Amino acid sequence: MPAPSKGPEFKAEALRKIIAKQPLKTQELFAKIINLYAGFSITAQSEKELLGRVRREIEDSVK
Amino acid sequence: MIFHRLEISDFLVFKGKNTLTFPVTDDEPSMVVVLAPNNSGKTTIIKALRFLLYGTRPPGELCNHAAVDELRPGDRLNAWVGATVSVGNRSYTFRRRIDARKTKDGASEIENVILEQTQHDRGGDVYSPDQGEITRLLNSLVPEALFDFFYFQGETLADKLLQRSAHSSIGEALATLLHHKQWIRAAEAVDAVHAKLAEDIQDLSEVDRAYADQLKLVTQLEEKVAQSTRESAEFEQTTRDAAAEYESLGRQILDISTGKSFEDVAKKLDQIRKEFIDAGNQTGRVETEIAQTIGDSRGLPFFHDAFGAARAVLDSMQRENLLPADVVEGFLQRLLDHQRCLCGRSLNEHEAEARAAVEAYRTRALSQDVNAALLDLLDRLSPNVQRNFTKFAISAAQGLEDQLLRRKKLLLRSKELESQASTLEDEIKRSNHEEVLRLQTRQKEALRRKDDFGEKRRKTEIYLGQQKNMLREAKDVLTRLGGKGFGARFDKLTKARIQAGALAELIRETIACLKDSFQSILQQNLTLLYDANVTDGSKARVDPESLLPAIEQRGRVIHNVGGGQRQLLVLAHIVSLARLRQQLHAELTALGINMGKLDDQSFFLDSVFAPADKNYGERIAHFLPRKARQIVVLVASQQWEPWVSEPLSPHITRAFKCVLASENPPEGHTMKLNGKTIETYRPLKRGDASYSVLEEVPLQ
Repeated sequence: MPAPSKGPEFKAEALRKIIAKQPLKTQELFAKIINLYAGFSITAQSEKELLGRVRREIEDSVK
Repeated sequence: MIFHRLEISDFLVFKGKNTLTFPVTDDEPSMVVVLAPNNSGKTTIIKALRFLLYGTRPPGELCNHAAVDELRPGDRLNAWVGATVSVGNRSYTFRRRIDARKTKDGASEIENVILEQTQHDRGGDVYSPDQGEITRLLNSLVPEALFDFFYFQGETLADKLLQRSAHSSIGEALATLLHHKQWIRAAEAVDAVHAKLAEDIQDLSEVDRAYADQLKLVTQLEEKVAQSTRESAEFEQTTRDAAAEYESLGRQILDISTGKSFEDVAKKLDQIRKEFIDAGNQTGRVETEIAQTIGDSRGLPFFHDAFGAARAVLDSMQRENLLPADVVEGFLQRLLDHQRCLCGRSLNEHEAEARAAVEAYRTRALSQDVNAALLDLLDRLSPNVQRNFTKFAISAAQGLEDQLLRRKKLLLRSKELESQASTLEDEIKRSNHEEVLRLQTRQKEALRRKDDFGEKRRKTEIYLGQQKNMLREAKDVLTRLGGKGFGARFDKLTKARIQAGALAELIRETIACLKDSFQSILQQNLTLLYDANVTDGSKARVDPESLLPAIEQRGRVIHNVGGGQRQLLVLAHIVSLARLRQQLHAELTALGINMGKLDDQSFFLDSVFAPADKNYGERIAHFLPRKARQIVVLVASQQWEPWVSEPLSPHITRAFKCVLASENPPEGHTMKLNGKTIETYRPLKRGDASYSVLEEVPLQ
């Protein structure tokens, strides 16, 4: 059985590189924001609440 | 999403509560087989799943006929499909319940369909209407567009895939799986925050500008206050100086009016006058001495150089009428009477010529030609007389010269004293009144300066007070505007804005990468699963746009392929989809994103062997085990051939059968599993409505 080839189109690797290039705080912030919107434990929140949370997270990340 | 339990109660062909329980372990994949004769409820399980997950009603009556038959008209019936599933580490129990009532004509009338959930199932489930959580969960776990891929009827899906009718749905479904829209929303939210931060920074800049302007005002006021303070001090000093000058001039005027101011001058003038008189007296004495010297020298102190000077002096003295008459006359008389030369030698009687010369000299002297006559006289003397005379004359001339010099100095000193005395006399002569006026003018000027600068100082002090008040108020405003906190706030917002910009870009890059990853990951797995299992050398290709599979042979897409080959392609594709989910889940988990919903997926495969010949049936049977964490294979008795059952049996972890209760036994109602015969038919008396039930089949 031939091994699957990981050609240049294997974007997951590119993604890993893109993320790895970011400062640690940006990586953490990225995960937080995505979890907030698309994560497994999403809860119903108003758009205003979400935006407020996003802003807090962003401001906290640059403290 | 992994099923732990599936319940079907009085729904379609299933009468009563029928439960499928699935063995779930963390490590081992499970394969559950449901064996069923035709029309006994195999496909109903797929329909029940669709109804449970999305509320999609299949055509016809939902409630089981046999169950309805046992009710009286007006009686209520609760039919439902329920499940317990796990997603990640969390478990959910939910059901979709049908409130129905039996009508007079014997049919069931549905009054309500409700999705209900329960968080706990200890000692019996307690359900409550779904508050939206289960609906959101299901829509994100198994988008309806992907339903056919996970809970599929073999031929139907194969047709969809190869005819591209699923084109529009699969990409969207995958995007839904990944919460693509939510990712976009996240990016948009970050964009919105970015914009708001920029706006806040702008607002802050406006406020900051106001702060800067206020700071500038405060600085200007501080400078003005400092300037006014300096000016006030200068004005005060000038006022003080002018006052002092005024007082000093007042004292001077007082002095003048009392004559006190001229005492010193008068004293000095007296002194000068005394000195002048002294100088005159001294001059007189020197002149007397000169006359005495000339007299004593009997008129002959003049010789050569001394003569010129003497003559000049004599001339001058004569003009001023200072030369005593005897200087000339007496001199000559003495010379002639004494008959003796100046040098002491007695004159010879025979020297008549000399006497004649003297006479001539006297004559000429009287005619003012004294010196020429004298010289002429001297020329007539004998050499010895001349020598003695010259010696005497030089000595006399030197003495006379000193006297003349003293006289000259005294004259100069007298002249200087006369000038000084004249100046002092002028000063004294000047009127006291004029001086008083002059001093008064100056005093007036000093007073004016004192008043002017006093007024200026007063005004400056008032202005200074105003400026200080303004400064105090300006400083209060500055404090209200925030002071030093602004810089930090500005800095914080700017950093946050930059971070938001970078984050939005990162999210978009990630979205693009994830979407691009769909095709590459699918292709890798499809190649692995399909290409190695076909016998005709064909290859599976994933269309980058539609993400649908196609079969290529020698570089060309082929459509006319056998049923078994098509089914293998479908299975390879859905397993690839499952692996895509798993890989993406792993990638995102590594990034710290908790995408539990992308974890393991269960498959319900209906009629997967239906279109396959022995060759591909066997290949599929070998292919399926361990390809997913949970596979539920629904197999019709006709397809339960040895080449299918034998490869599958070792991997089966639990088995069920659909037992059909009907008047007549269906075809192939007995099957073999692990050497045991399985009966799937239950006879009914004539007229009774047929139905099915699910029963577990012991594996041993």
